[in-house]
Amino acid sequence: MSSPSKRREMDLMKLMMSDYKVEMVNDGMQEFFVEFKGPAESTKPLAKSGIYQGGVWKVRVELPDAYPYKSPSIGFINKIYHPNVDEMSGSVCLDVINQTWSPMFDLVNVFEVFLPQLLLYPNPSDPLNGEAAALMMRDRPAYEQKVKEYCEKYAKPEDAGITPEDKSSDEELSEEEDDSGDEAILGNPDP
Amino acid sequence: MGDSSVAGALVPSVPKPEAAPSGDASAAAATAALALAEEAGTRAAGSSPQQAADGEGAADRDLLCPICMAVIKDAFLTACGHSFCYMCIVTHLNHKSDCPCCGHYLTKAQLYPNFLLDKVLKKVSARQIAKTASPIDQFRYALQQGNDMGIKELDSLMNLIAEKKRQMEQQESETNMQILLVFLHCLRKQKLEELNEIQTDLQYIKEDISAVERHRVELYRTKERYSMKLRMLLDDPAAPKMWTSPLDKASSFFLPSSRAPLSPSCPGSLQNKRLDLKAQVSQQGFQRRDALTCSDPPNAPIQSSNVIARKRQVQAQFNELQEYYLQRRRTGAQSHRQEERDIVTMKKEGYHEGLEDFQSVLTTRLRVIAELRHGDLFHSANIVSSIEFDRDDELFATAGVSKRIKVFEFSSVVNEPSDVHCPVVEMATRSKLSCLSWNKYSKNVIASSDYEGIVTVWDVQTCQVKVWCTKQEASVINIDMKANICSVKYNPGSNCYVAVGSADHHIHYFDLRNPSTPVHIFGGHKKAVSYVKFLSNNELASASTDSTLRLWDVKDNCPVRTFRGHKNEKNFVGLSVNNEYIACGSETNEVFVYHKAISKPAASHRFVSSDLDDADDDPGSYFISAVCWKSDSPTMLTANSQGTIKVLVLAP
Repeated sequence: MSSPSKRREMDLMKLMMSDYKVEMVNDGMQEFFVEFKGPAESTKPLAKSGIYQGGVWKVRVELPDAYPYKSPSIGFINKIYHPNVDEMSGSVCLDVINQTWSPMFDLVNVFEVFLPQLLLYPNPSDPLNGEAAALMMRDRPAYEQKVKEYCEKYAKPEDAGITPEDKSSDEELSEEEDDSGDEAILGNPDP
Repeated sequence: MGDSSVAGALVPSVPKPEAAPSGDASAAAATAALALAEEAGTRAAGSSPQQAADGEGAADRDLLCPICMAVIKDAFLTACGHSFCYMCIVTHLNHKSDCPCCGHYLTKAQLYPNFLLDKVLKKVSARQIAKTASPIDQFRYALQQGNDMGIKELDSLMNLIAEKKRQMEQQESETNMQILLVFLHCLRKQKLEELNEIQTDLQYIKEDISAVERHRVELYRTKERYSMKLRMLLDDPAAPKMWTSPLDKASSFFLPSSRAPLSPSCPGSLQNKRLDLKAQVSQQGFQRRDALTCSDPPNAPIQSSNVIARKRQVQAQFNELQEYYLQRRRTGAQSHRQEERDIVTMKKEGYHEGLEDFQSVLTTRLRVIAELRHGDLFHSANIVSSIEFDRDDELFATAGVSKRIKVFEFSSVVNEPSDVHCPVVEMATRSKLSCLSWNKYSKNVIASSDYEGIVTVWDVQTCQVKVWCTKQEASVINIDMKANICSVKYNPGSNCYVAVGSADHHIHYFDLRNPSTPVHIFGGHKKAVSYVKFLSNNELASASTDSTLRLWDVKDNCPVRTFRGHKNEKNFVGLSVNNEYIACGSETNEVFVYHKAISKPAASHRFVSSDLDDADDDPGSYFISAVCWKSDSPTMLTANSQGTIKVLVLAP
């Protein structure tokens, strides 16, 4: 079996090589921050259109020692309104992650598939945010409204400001916009 | 299915019975495995002719275990048809019972080895190593795999490797030795240079010793020759005059040299020679008289104790004397390199110039050549605070707490042996005087400062007076100092640099063009700086009540030396400098003279008070209050708190 860190290294490298902004916490490859954008309109039939669309979150990823056999723990740094995300701490329910986790997933998968899926298909049976879960079951439009409000207030691009490691990419906001964020801020290349 | 003889030894064998329950599954698995292996094989085979990197990359990607992202090692197949490394899938199954790829229920029981995949993968990795790995890695790999190496071949390989190793070691030791050699050569060169230096020094010392010895022998011979005549003429005080004519300068010293016992030790003989190495023609008269006074028999025993004291002094200052001597000799030798050696040695007494300089430093003493009393017996009212020579060194003036400025004629003081001298001019002042200064350009003009802050300018010929008061704001520049000022002096080389000695323990060096901040503040004294005097444009000497004198370099703004030996804890004891020497007073009623390069006193002289009631007077209560060098000559004026003024000369 190859060294345990090889898998980690490769995953991290792959993540950095992709279009995601990654910020390391220390040199240990245990923890890092990633900028995550709310998923756009889904093509899947049952999913609602992206209520989280336009939101930008700073996500904290922590790889346990048993990675990849154990799932990474995910946490939202800025606030998000979601039944499976604790509003105060921003950590995503570990069970939910664990249920769907497989060693075959890598970090890119997490941000490409897993997190968008979670956002689009919340799991109300195991909620960390009981209020959100209840609201979702009770009054869907109100729930969606609240999600959008939270996005407006807490998920602005500047809230999730990340200084990326290697890249200096110009990220653009998608067209369907009602955020009052400055184009200028986003449009500036990173120093 | 399990053919464990093929493939690596690391593949654990799966017990047959376990395969039985899922027999059909295994069959299906087997066919699936075969199919997969074939697939992998064809793909691998297909990729081999392809030299394109992506083709290979693609093939590699497919051969990676999804869990560890490396080429699958010990391939095992799941019942649902996915292959993983054995360790990876087993570790995963420890946590969860599903297939990582499809989520199908999976246990360890449903794992089967995939021998064909393993074989194919080995071939692939071997090919890869053959292409990309370094020769050493390939060699290592081959060795690890190598089944077909005979003992002979292994032996030859081992010999080859051993030979290589030996060669490398030899090379390394050669390099090490080279470095060591370089270092040793450098060190040797350095030490040889040092040796040369020391040998040259020894040469100088040898030359000097032989020159001095030669001279001693000469003197001894001449002494023998004239010994009879000397004894005859001893009682006649006019006799010394005869000696000046036949033998030039050295003559006057024969008198004392014959008197004093010729001590065998070298320093004693040096002292007895009393060679005057600087032409002092005008002083010869004084020296004659002094020679007389010193030749009295009672002085003889004092001299031997004097010898001991001076030997001790030399020992104490040995290091500094050594440095000074060597420095003088070396520079002297270098400057004369172009000339003939003989010319060099034909200096006055056949001494090298450097040795002369040094000898003067080593053997100088202070001797009294004149003395005068300032006033009456009450010493407290007679402290002489300042004594200064005038522009041409013909007159000198004294001033003190007695509120009088007295001007004397120098030549009359030293020539006439009377104890009491009369001043040429005497001027009374309103209050006690602190300092005098003659005008360097106009003769007969002198300025005095007093305890009331008034500067008075006198014309000693006509006794006219001009007055300035320091309390009025009519001065040209005002430098505000936080503490009391004890001494001010202009730098002799410039018209704008002034050194101020202050009671705040520092010397403030100002440029008058910018009087707001000092150019530099010299710190180091532990108590108030009482005097500052310039030796030259760059050297500044200062005295302080911490019993030290210090020498500073005002160009580099750094301290040079500290002089210790005298005692000065309270009073203004006087400081005077000339080109080479620094003189100061002491509270022990002694005058100290330092050479500017040696931090211990070069000579000292005790003011033995010539009062009749010698025994009653406590010598500790008197202190020297003022000193003044006569320009660049070795003569100096000294005055003490009793009012006594003495003229001393610094000569061997």
